[in-house]
Amino acid sequence: MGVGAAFGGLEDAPKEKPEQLGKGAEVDQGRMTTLFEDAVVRPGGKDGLGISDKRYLQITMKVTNTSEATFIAEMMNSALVAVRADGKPIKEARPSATTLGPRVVTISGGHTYGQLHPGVPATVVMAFELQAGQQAPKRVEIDAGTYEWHESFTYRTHYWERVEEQEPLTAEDRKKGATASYTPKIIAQVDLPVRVEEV
Amino acid sequence: MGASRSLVPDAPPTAPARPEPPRRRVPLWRRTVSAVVGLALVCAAVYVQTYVLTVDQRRAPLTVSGGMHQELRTSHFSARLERVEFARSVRVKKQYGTEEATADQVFLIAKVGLTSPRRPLRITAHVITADGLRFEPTDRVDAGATLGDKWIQPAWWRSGFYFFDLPVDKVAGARVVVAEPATLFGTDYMPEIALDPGLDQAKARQLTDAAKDVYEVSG
Repeated sequence: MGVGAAFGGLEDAPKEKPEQLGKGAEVDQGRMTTLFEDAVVRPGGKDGLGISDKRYLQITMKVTNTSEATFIAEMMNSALVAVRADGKPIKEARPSATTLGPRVVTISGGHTYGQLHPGVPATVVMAFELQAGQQAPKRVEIDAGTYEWHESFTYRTHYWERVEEQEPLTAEDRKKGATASYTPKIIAQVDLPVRVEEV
Repeated sequence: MGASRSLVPDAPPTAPARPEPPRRRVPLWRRTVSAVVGLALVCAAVYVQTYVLTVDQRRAPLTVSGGMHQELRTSHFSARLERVEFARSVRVKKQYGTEEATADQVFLIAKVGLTSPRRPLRITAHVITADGLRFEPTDRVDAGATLGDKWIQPAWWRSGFYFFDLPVDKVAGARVVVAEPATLFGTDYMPEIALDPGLDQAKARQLTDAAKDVYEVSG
């Protein structure tokens, strides 16, 4: 009992706090490294992204695929688990069915594309459409998840999988009859100031 | 009573037990040889286990490999690599207008001929570089201009292009692999054909330096 007490009792160890980072930070997410460059609110149309009479919050990153195969830019939608604008979630870890989520593309030479080839750095933009008259946020906070080369328990095959952690059950989970609850592991939180760009 | 007795044959008289021959002692040299042979067999059995394929290997497709212009056959389809060229941009001419695609570094353009023995097929391609990286065909060039978008009909050879956006330093040793598109749950023992254009360092540099500015295809 003394040993237990010495190591902080039988409670779960407090979770490691994710690294707190800012603009220009680079995060190794296992399957890719991501350099957070900028966050801008601008009207659509630039680089063929969006339409000109709407405004978008665009998070610009330099992403290098460190895995062994091409994947699509949409992968960043799950690699960046959640995004908050001024503390309000605009992309959630467990997305509700009501929003389609942000659009994620790679940009090159004024065109939008959708692939990230292994070892090739690419500019990736995650774009959220703002409602008409909606105030541009001052800051965005991004939760970066991580991937591991996972071995399947049943088949012993290997594939990339997002690392998830078991969470204590919430009252809502119990009501649904869930016996375990998992959320993506957050390794870094990146805080970016938002610029506003007018045409 | 007497009749029933006559029906039951008399049990044959048991042979007198022969005296057991005296146990011969196995000579020491033979016992030593048996021990060594046994040990060698055990070692061999353990060694053979190192050749057991991993699950990932067992689920990998069966690859037929070959070089330029070789007709390579699998039970599902046949392929040959007709030409490999390099360009910095590709112009796709369509019925109404053209579409230009610029490579991040350089486009590897593989002209491949395909045929199927039995049923119409669609065949996708990817590039495996010398260090084992897998590049999917680029989405910069309109898919309509590529062979991946076409049906391969039985008994007809169909030629077309696959376009890959590759870093210049990954070109040497790169192979173009053609296969049927992967199904949702994966099928074991699917065939694929690895086409090796035979690009060594010198040849790769020479070809990428001489890459065309614009390569025109019709879409």
